Amino acid sequence: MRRAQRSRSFRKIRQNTPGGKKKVKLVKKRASRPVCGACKRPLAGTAGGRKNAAKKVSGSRKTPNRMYGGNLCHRCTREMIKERVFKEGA
Amino acid sequence: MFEIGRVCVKTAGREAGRYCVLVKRENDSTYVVTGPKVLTKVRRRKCNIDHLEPLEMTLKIKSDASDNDVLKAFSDEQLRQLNLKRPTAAEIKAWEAQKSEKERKREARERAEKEKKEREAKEKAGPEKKAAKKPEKTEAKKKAKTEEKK
Repeated sequence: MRRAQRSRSFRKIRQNTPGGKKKVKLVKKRASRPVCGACKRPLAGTAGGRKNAAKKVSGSRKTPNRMYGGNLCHRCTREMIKERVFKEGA
Repeated sequence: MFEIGRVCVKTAGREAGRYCVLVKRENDSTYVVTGPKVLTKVRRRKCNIDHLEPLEMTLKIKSDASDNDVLKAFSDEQLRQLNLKRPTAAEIKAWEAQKSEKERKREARERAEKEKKEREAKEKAGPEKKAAKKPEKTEAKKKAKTEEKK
């Protein structure tokens, strides 16, 4: 194992080689999907992957171009707006 | 609830959470809606009722009223209620300059569609008219011939 690979950002998998040896394979960890802040459902239209991969995507593909886009799902956004309208009663 | 002049909030899409006014009825489920764009950043467009939340506020406007008429219909009190600012003269001027380009394009598109429809209608009516005209001519010729013979 190289010095640079001795970090916790790798997932370690034990593998048997064809020669009969046992080896430790290093795999990058999987990133969790972005999730709605209210209902915890996975968010649609957001750039997934690890931080570096998500950064490389263009701005319009990172989050939906909507109020609370990237934080709340469309259902929760609609409910929030309706609640606000009901409270204000404009 | 949904009638011309009703102020609503959009609940879906990029314009979600923004105020708009119903301007024209398209069918049972769709209306033409406008902010106008200078006021609330909602463009003039068709919108499904499912994507609108109506408010108590209504404006006195005619069906298919222009964006300028809608702007004028808002009173200062109503704007204060909605936390909106009346756009300045410079903003309106810039918006109208932008709008005129779009309107020109839209008009050109509509004109082209009209011409297309007229052409199609002519093509449909064309062969029938010719068929109707022909016998008249032949009858007239026959009459002329018979008169000559006499």
